[in-house]
Amino acid sequence: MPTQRRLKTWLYTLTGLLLLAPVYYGTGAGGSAPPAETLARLDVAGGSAIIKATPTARPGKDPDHGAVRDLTLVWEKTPDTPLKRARLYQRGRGQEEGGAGILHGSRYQWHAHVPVNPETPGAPLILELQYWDGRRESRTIDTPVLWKPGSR
Amino acid sequence: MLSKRAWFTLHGWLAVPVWILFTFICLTGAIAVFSHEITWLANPDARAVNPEGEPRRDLGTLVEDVHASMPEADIHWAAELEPYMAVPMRVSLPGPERALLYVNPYSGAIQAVNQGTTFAGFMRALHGWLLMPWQEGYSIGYYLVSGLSILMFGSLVSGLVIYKRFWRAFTRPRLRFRRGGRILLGDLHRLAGAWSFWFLLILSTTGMIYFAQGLLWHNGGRVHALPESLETAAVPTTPDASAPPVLPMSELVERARDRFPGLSPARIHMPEHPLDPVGIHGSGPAPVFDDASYRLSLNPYNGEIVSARSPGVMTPLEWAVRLADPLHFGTWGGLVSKALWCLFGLVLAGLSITGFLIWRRRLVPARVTNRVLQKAREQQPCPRSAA
Repeated sequence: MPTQRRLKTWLYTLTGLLLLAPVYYGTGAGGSAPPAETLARLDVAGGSAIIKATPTARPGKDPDHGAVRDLTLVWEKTPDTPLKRARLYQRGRGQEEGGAGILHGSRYQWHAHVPVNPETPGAPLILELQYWDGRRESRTIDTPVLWKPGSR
Repeated sequence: MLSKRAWFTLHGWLAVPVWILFTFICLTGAIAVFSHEITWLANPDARAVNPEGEPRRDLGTLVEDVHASMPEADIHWAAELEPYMAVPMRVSLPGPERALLYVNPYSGAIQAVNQGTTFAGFMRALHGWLLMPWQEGYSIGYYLVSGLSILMFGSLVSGLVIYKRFWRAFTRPRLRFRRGGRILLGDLHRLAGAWSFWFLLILSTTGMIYFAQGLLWHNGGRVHALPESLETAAVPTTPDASAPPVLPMSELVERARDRFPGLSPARIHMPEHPLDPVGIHGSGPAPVFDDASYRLSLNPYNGEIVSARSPGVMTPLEWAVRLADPLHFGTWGGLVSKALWCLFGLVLAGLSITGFLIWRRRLVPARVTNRVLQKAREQQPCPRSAA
């Protein structure tokens, strides 16, 4: 009966897809990320940190802040002077966006959705720091291009 | 209006092609319902033992205990699971590494430092998205699993249409053991389907809520708004540039309870940066809602409540999402409802298997009949050659 033959075809096809799932996962074809690259090393507030990112072909999209790049700041030595707030943004984006690019996470590793300009992957980053006594500091961090068309 | 034959064909098309996937999801779901209990049985460090007969400490006090006993641990969140389970706390350690602590809720002692995934986390990932990875806000596995809810709903409706007077399964249940395998399978399938129709309705509805939630995440949306950062003016400055002290976590939990009388705190989210509020989530007087339905953000420096949400002020989407987990996993009524959900999860798996076997039995005789007919035609002499 034609209907039953078609059902059998669907059945075996979908069963095959199901069996492929562990293969998809096991081989990492589904998206195991390439290792993060170091973009910059810096000394901050008596500590030292490195900024890392997973290679990508284009910036991500944040519903509130538009084009963003996910960056990680790993403390090799935690700062002696505690920081009240730290923000990262790319030159040309984010100066007025108070909440965008705030570095957050644990005492040992921070993350940020850094506002970026899609037209300028090579523009430097700006690190804005606020201390608890009201002082503010801003520094420019030169990095390699933040995204490269053609990478994964 | 479709004919009964058309409904029958539809019922088959909706269920048979995905029967293996559906059965797998039902079985993993039935196990996932009891994932905490299985952890309790297999791992003594995950148990809330109280040999000294001490009173139970609240979540805020336990956070302070871990701060004191393990100062290098930076706590991300702390959660209350079942009353017989140790309290898990996700922490970051120097390295940086992440770990899950099991904390005794009576003594505050750290019973274990775990790295890697837990059994409950593994089962949730296996059942919820077939372990398929998440990328850019979505997982193909999540869509596959939650999308099955639409087929499930269609199978339910078509099944009830086909099974005339299905209510007789409750008043006059029938299992004919002596009329052959096909009759018995049909009786089993109809009986299981009729008795579990309410369960199918709940699971297909909650599954469709999960599907809608997946679409929302994929498009960068959120069910709940992210808590706003504290205003700089709301946070004190210090002349010596040291970080100002924060209130004890137990005091913040008390302030949350003052705001929502009857609140049972189930989760504390620690600030991710100095201008981030503390998140306290829990269950409350509203029945069935999960343990993240009462949600507060508090200024950790002065205890001021920055935001508070409860079922009374939630949007319909928030309502749906906060009801979905307890109804889908049967956690709304403790061990009793979990046992019922696990049992009916297995019944659904049986429904899928019996449905496939019924279809198979219909197919094989047709194939055999065709083969017999074909052979008969081959053996029959051609009328022209006979002449």
